[in-house]
Amino acid sequence: MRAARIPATYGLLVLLAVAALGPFAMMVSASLRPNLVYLSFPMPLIPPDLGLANYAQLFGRTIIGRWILNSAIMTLSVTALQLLTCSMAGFAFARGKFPGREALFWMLMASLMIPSTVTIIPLFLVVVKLGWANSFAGLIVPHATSIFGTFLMRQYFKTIPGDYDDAALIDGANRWQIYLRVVLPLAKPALATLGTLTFLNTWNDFLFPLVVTSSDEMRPLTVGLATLANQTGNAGFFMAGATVSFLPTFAFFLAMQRYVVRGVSLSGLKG
Amino acid sequence: MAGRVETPASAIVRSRSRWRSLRTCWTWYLFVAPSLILFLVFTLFIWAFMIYLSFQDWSLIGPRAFVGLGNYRELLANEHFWSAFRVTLVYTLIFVGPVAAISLLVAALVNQRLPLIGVFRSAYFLPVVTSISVIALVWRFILIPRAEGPLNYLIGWLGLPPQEWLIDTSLALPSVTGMQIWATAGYYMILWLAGLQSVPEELHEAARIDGAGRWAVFWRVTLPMLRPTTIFVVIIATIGALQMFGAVFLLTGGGPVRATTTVVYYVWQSAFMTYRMGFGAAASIVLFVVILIVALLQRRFLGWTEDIY
Repeated sequence: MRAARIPATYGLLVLLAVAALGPFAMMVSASLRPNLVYLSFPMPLIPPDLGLANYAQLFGRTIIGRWILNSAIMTLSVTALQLLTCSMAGFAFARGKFPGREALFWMLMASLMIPSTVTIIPLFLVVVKLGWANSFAGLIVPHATSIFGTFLMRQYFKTIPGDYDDAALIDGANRWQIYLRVVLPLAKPALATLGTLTFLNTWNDFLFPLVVTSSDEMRPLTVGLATLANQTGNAGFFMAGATVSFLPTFAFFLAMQRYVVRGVSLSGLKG
Repeated sequence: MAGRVETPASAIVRSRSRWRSLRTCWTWYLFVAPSLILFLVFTLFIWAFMIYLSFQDWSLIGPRAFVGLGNYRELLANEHFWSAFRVTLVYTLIFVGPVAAISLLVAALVNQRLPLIGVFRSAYFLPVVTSISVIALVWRFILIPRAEGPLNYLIGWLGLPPQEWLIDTSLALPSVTGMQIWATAGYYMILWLAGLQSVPEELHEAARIDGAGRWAVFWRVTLPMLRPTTIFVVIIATIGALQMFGAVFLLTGGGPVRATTTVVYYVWQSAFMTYRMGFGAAASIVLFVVILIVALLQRRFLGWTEDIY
């Protein structure tokens, strides 16, 4: 009975895989067809008129290269800054003894669940007031730390035995040296998880960069792609834009899968 | 006698140790400082500013005017706000249940030790890591209203006539919902999977030995054991649904005729299309209060207790 169920299970698995991957297959396939004006079914998976003209048109007509660069600068900066600030604060909350530690920690935790979309207006106004509208500072600094990340790092540091710190203290190391040379190298799994989630959340963020940037040259890829949709062009042109935007996160996901899944279980990815 | 006398040497040692403890304290504050300063400015201050702003009438360039509860009063009398509110609630209702059910079934399916199962899990998760801009661009073509449009072609197999997915006022919101379910089900699948893997295998075996069928085991044993996960999935999905913006912005622009204008889209329009900052802030605060109430109600209604974990 169990053996008879396995082909049915695989049938269902494949059907669901077609539903999940079909739109992406269609996107890539259509992007490789220079003469495709309208997307219509049934369509061949392997295009008869294979060519890269849509991509040539995409890079010629839009500044998508600049959008990719903007996204990369924004995402890598935010990720690096969050790894630094969250691990520093997490270290202090896990190991430090200082007045106000508990009060500060619970103040941060109380705002952990506050949805970020509801504060978009005052956030925009503060960014403008700081003179950071339509700039990398505006895109990066407001997200340079995360309460979730601080919590994640603190929990991980708490699992590292304090004996390591004590041994380093006896050897004459100060707090900064313990943080950099002892604790941080031991926290690589947590840093990888946080870095992976921050990378994806920042790269895919939409509302915030939409509001903060105003010129075409400052748009990150997600927002730039949205303005692309207002242009005229044939279906293959748009699908080329979608494919170019899809590939970075796809490659990143393939490389960092393990950490993505671990992070989601900790619910650090925006649903 | 010698022990009680403050010698210069002991005073130095004491003040040095006090100085040292203060210095180590200061080091800890330095570790916390970057996060704390950012938190104070970009969370605490902007909240205070938003509340202040919600009592003001301000168009970004002109002078600010205190209007008391004027924005809130106008909001509650505004039919467009109520329409956005209704759209958001309908969307939440038709999104949360189906996405939770579908992702649970998919999780149960991939929670088996079979060759290649990891590849299938990754495939189902792929839409989750893809940006909403890419997804919306592709779905805009999937949903084209002509008979050869991908979705119309597929429903043609079932003998159904072609539909005007994003043009028909009664179909636009369900279409956006369908896309959102497709885009996010993989995320909830991972949450369910974590829950399923924490259910002890012995429970299933015991039930099977007692003669329970596959579905009976699932309904009577697995699902009750998944209650903490169920509460978590429903709350997370609801909080996300109440903040729906990107899909609507990209796919329908709130239309046709406001049929897909959600509260966050309405907030965005108020602030960044008509430049009514105070009015938009008031709408944001109302939305926040609604999210808070719904999350608390769900916790209570679904029987959240602190000892659940």
